[in-house]
Order: sequence, then structure tokens, then C-alpha cells
Amino acid sequence: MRHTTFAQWSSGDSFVHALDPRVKLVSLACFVVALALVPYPSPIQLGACLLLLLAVVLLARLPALHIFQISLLSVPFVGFFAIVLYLSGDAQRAWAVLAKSYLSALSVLVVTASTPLARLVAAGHYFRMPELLLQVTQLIYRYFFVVSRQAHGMQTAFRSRAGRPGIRALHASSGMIAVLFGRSYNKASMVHQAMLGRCFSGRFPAPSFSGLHLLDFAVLAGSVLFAWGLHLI
Amino acid sequence: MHIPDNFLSTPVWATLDAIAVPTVAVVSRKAHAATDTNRLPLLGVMGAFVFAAQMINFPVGVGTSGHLVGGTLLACILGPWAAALVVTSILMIQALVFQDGGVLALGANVINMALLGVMAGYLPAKWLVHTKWRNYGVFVGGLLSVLVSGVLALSELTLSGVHMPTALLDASLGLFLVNAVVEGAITVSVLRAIEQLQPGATQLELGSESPRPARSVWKSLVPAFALASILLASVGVLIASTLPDGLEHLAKALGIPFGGYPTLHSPLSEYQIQALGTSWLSRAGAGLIGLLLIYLVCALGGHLLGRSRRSYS
Repeated sequence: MRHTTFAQWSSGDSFVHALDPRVKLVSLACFVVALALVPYPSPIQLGACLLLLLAVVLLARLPALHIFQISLLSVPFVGFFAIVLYLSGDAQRAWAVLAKSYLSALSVLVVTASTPLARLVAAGHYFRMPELLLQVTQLIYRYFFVVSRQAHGMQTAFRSRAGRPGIRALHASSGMIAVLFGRSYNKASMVHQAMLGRCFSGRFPAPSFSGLHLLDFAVLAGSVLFAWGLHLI
Repeated sequence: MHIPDNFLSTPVWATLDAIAVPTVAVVSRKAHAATDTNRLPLLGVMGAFVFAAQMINFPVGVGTSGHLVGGTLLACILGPWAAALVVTSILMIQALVFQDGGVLALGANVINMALLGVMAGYLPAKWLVHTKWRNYGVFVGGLLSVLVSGVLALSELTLSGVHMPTALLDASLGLFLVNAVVEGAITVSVLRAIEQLQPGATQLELGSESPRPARSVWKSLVPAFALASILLASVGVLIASTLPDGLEHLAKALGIPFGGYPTLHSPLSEYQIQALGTSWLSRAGAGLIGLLLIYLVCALGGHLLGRSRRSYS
């Protein structure tokens, strides 16, 4: 399951994992914006980006092949739009956009695979993102895998009852979602009770950062230089 | 429809991000005011629920299947502000973990689906809740939310210079219409099933109040008009793009070099000149940019106003 893989990956102990999450977010922003600002990247530019991401994956001691497999998930979404561009007679732009979108998605994947979500949320906190948004995001991510496993089980049951398309299937499927809703609704009150039991005061504890190290500054400078250099080559 | 990175041109995604950031801050503040702490887990688990429910395929016949998008359902259960916030969170997780939608295009996706999509879904449901057409209201809400998100996404792509052939544009609009009808039907059906299963759960926002005085109807007409004008403007962009050289003409008329930043003063002043001129299509495009600017100013003004009022009290 995706959740456990991500949890495993992001809890590694390489120096990429140990970097400050704020530095990682800023570097990601530099990379993605720099890539977006090159209208038609040359093969050298694309190769440089790919090499950089590959280097980060290897330095973080992440399984490169598995990361590559998961990154292919973004291709259908991106591919659909690229086909639209291709059909509208802009082949060059279609290829450029396809490559850039894939690299952009891959860079996001590399950052999320090497950083626990809690630390990303802490960085968001530092950048003054709304507190409620961050809390809700954390809760959604936490319970999504619980609820989706239930949904998966229900769908298997539906298929084994030989559910066929039609108006009755609509009722059956909406009943399924309603049951899922009922369970989630009760789950929410149970979660709330549990939070109160752990003396939840209404706010999540504010994260703290232990200052930036020399390595953090080096990575920050490196990513700015890379973003600048990408436009020179 | 999640727009990936690099499909929107830089002025488009930058503008939409710049609009989305303060707007989400305002939405978050509103949602915070409407939510007490004991409903915080409810927001999170309901978000997880809708996220998981999106994976359940609805067999709608003739070899197609649809799935719930859920903006309208969330708005009926949690209220519009909290629903917009929860959908924003879902979009963030999808962009970060599931590579569905880009990070630079996140502002565009949030505006299309979380802000305007939820609003378009909530308003019809809210208006008709006390009448016997309640279910039709929910149906129209579900339908509009998908349709609004789709049309906005298409017009943003068109503004970014993705020239779709007319046939393709018609096909994708038709696809959105089918999806929208399916979403409306699913939302009604799920909401009815939920009400049988958990009476009172959906009454939280939609039905608990007694019939409202006429003033609040007028109050909710303002966002409806705003929404309708944005929608009309973006439909105008789509129509303009199907005409030969429509968009280039528009860009030229506005004085925007295609793919460059519009200078801050030009859209409104050109709008004046253009209003005296010929084509209503260029006016629709100019109107969109003007509306966006006005909206940005309003959002910022509201933000500052709310802050100053809070500091005095």
C-alpha cells in the first residue's frame, strides 16, 4: 500500500532526509519555477534536470526503480493534455510540455518521498499557511487510507454480488457511499473522543526548528544556482 | 479535471496563484469561525471519506462509469466555507502525493474546484432547501459544480494558448456535461441514502435554520452574480477561441503580447476603448481580466478590513 511505502521511504536517515524541510520546499519551488520558465527546453536542459533528480534519489538512498514506477502514474494525466495539444497541431509544444510536466511531478515525488508529511506541514506552518488548512490536510492524509480500505472492501463485495450497470446499480453504489459516510461520521466522533482523552486543547502543538546548518545553506545556494544556470545552458 | 504543471502559461498560473493564496486565507478564516474544535476531526474524516468515495465507480450504463466529485455533497454536510477548505486540502494532497495536478497549477485547480466549484454547487441547494424542489436544487448544484470547474479549466487552457479544434472542444464540453449530470444524480442519491441512514447529519447547514428573511436571499445573490459573470466571461473566451484568430485578435486588441505579462493599467483602460469598438468577444475577455483584478482587490480589501476590525475589538 502506498501509505506504508511512503512512510518507510520518508523515515530514512540519509543527509537528504535530514535537510531542513523549509530548505527543501524552497529548493523545490526554485526547480519547478525554473523549469516552467523555459519555454522549449533543449535535451541538455532536460538531461540536467533528470540527472539532478536522479542524484538526489541516489543520495537519499531511495529505491530508484520503484520511484520511477510510481512517477509513471502521472503520465496518463499529463498525457491526456499533451494529446490535446498534439491534436491541435502544436507537436513541438506537446513534447516540451510532456517532458516538463513529468519532471515537475517527479521532483515533487522526490521531495515527498524523502520528507515525512509532519515535517512538510511544519514547514507550511513556518511559511504562515492557514493553521486550519494544515490541520485538516494532516487529518485527511491520516484517515484516507483507513476509509479507502473500507471502500475497497465494499467494492469487492459489490462485484461479487454480480452488480450490473443500470439504475439499480446507481442505488446500490450510492447506498455503499452512504454506509461509508455513516462509518466515517461515527469514526469522526470516536477520533474526537480519543483526542479529548489525550488532552487535546484545540490546537496542534506548534513545531519548532533547530536552526539551519551549513549544509542547508549550501543546498539552498545550490538550488538557486541550478535554477539560474538552467537558463544559461 | 486537474490541470498539470506547464500547461498554463506563466501569466495565467501566476495570476491564479496570486488570487488563490489570499482567497484561501479568507476561506480558512471563515471556516475557522464557523467550526468549533469538536468538529475539527469531522472535517478531516469527511475529507478522507470524500477522497475515498471518489474511488468508487458508478456504473452508469453503456460501458461508461462515473465517480463522485463530492464538492456539493461536502457543502451540504459541512457548509460552504469548511467544504471549500476541505476540497483545497484534498487538492494539495493529490498534487503532493498522488501526482494528480501540478504544484504551480494548484492555484488554478483550487479556484476551479475548491472555491468556485463548491460555491456553484452550494448556492442552488441552499436556495431550494425549504421548498419541495429540494432534490432538484441538490441535483442542479452537483451539475453546476462540475460544469463550472470544467468550463473554467478549459478557458484557462485556452487563455494559455492551447488552441483546441472546435470538434475537440465540443467533445470535451459534451463529456463535461455527461459527467455533470452523473455528479448531480449521484449527489442526490447519496444525500437521500445518508438522510435515511443518519437522520440529521446533513441538516447541519442546509435545513436547520428556519426560513430565512428575504435579506439573506439578496445577500446570497451577490456571490451568484459574481459566479455567473465569471462563468459568462470564460464561456466568452471559449467562443472567442473557436472563431478564426479570435484569441490573437483579443490579445492584440488588449495590447497583450501573447505569453507576456499584461501591464497593470492596460486591461481596464483598454476595456473602455474596446467597449466603444466592435467585437463583444474581446469585451468578454477583457471583462474576465477586469473581474479577476477586481476580485483580487476585493479579497485583499476584505482581508485587511477583517484584520483591522479584529484588532480594534
